Amino acid sequence: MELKSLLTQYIQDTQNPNTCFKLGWEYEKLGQTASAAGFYLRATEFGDNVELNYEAMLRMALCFEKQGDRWFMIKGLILRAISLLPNRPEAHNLLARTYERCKDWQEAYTAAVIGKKMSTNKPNSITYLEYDGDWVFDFELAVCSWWIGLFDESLHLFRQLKENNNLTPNYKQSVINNLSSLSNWKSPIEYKKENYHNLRYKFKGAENIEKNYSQCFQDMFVLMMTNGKKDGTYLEIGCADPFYGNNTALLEQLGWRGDSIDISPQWEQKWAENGRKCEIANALEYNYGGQEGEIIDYLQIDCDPPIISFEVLKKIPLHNIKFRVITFEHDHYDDDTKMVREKSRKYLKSFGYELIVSDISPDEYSPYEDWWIHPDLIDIKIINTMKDISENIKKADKYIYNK
Amino acid sequence: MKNLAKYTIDNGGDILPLIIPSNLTNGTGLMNPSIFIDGDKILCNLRHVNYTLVHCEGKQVFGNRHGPLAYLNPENDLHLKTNNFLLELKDDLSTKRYQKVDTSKCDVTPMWEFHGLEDARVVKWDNNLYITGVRRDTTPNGQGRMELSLIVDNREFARYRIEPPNDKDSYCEKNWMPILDMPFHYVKWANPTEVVKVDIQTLQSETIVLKQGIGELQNMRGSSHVISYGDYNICIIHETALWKNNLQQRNARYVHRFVIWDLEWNIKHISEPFNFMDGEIEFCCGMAFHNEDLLISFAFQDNAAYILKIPKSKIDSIIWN
Repeated sequence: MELKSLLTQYIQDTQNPNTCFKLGWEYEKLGQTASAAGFYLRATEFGDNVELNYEAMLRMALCFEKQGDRWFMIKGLILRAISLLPNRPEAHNLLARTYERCKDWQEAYTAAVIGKKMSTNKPNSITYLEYDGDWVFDFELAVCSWWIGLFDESLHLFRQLKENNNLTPNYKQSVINNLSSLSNWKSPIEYKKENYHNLRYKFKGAENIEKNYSQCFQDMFVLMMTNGKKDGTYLEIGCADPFYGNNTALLEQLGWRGDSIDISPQWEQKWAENGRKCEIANALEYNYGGQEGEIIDYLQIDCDPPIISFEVLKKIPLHNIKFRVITFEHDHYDDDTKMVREKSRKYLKSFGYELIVSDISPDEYSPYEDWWIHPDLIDIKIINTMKDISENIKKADKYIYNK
Repeated sequence: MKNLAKYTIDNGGDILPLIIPSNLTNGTGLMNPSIFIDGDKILCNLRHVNYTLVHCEGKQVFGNRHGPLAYLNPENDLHLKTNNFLLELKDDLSTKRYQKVDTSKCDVTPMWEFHGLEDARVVKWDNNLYITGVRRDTTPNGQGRMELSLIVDNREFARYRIEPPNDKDSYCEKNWMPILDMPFHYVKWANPTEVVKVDIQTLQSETIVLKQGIGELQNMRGSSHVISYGDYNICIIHETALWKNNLQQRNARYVHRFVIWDLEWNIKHISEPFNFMDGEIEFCCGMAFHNEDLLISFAFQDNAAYILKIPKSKIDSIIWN
């Protein structure tokens, strides 16, 4: 029995810091964190080895973390460890993580920044101090930046982490989960009338538009390409909220009509309450009909994950129906397969569609949509004005305002 | 003798750690075990507390804002809560079975910060199994009284709160040492020796022996059982040194001694002070003979529990030290 053997060693030399540490570690492995903490503390008080003291302080902190709700003591122990070896990364990581778990986001963010800068020495511990590599600081920064309002930075860091093969499986999963929940959030970039003069193309009636609803000006793009068409038609797949970030609300206010479908039952009532009609349906099983020669002015496809968007696209009877404008969400920045964007481009081109703007993004990092037109149905002058298929990411406001 | 465990092991004895699974305790303190031989069974009460004692010894340079001695509770619950687990041990003193003492039949809403029966010693008197210790949760000011809890099938079947014999208003009565061979008798104080008899019908106690104090060692607090050893009664007591550092933060150190009485409760010997494992806070709640070995159960830093097995051949040299 290892515990008894170490206990006997301890009794022979009760002030030996190495034995105290080992005995603490043995107790900790058994879940006896109070016993462990006592021997770790003894290791520090009778020891002169700074590295052992550093590790013992952190092990105590981890013991108290397991006991739960001892945050003040935990922070004190970690800070003391940092004071011993400020260039070692393990304590910085635990400090940032502790603040994060206490929801002290600003402190956690700052601790991660300092940790990242200060950790010039390599980890060097006898036991596992829950430090898995320098990317842990980016993980803490990604989590905490979100909560202090640095949304773009947060998403950017999570996306970088997603591509980092050094992440441990649990962190990887956490990154994926965070991206899944946070990426869906993209605050709409609102059009305001005072920006009229900056519009890339001033369609008919643009001067009367007070505000829009889309996330990245999709509604304004549709109106530009159709030169402010009234009484248009649309097929909106993945409609979500009836107004917030919605691509057809403005169009409907201008007299457009069409079908809006979404798979989430939560939206049905909200649409009804707002005087709009949404059909709850699985877009992969939906009957899209389609008479030969039929023209619909606008098609939106926005499903999750992006591979579903592509599968839905293939369900649309493009050989019968022509769409004047298509906005297709490929979520390339978040597409595990990294295939959807290219597949959708090839597919739409095969039906004669022309890419007008590629890789639209709400920020500098998140190419998520391509916008298409059918050249038979759009004025060539407008196409020439609106076309931008360069390889760079197009930040939506810069594109739509022709900055 | 600085380190009783070392002396014992160096002389053919043994030490066994006492552990129960941490999922029952959240890993917090297992302490103050009380060993008791019940016929062919070896029983042991193990106190579990919801805190971790953080006590700096040695250089004392790794303290926290509470100082060198801190009781680390959950931050959302500063009550000091005690539960007791009754263990049955095998002959080799490893744990055969364990079960939390079910106090639900007798529990009432605690009125003070310390909850539960503290430092319970196991006894069997008049063929009934009891654990006996101090409880401080029945009054708003934490008044402590010795209690006896009748244990049947690991459940607390009845609870008896004992009034002290003389000063009925005393604040805290604790560490009365049960005399195994004298049912419902305790050594209330070792020197001057005071033996009390309790009546669980009336819940009163009376002093039946009160001796003159001898020597300077008159601040000895109770600890183990009092057990019979040949023509003597013996026990372990503890002495405390309490002080504050420059920041007025408290600190403490305990030492222990054997006390030997003759059968008329005359003190025959008080041993030199000792500790168990070189810790400054250790506590003994039980002592028993088993197969002629002397078993002593004690806690280290309120955070770990052990049984020391002293071989027969070394008992005299230890207790008469």
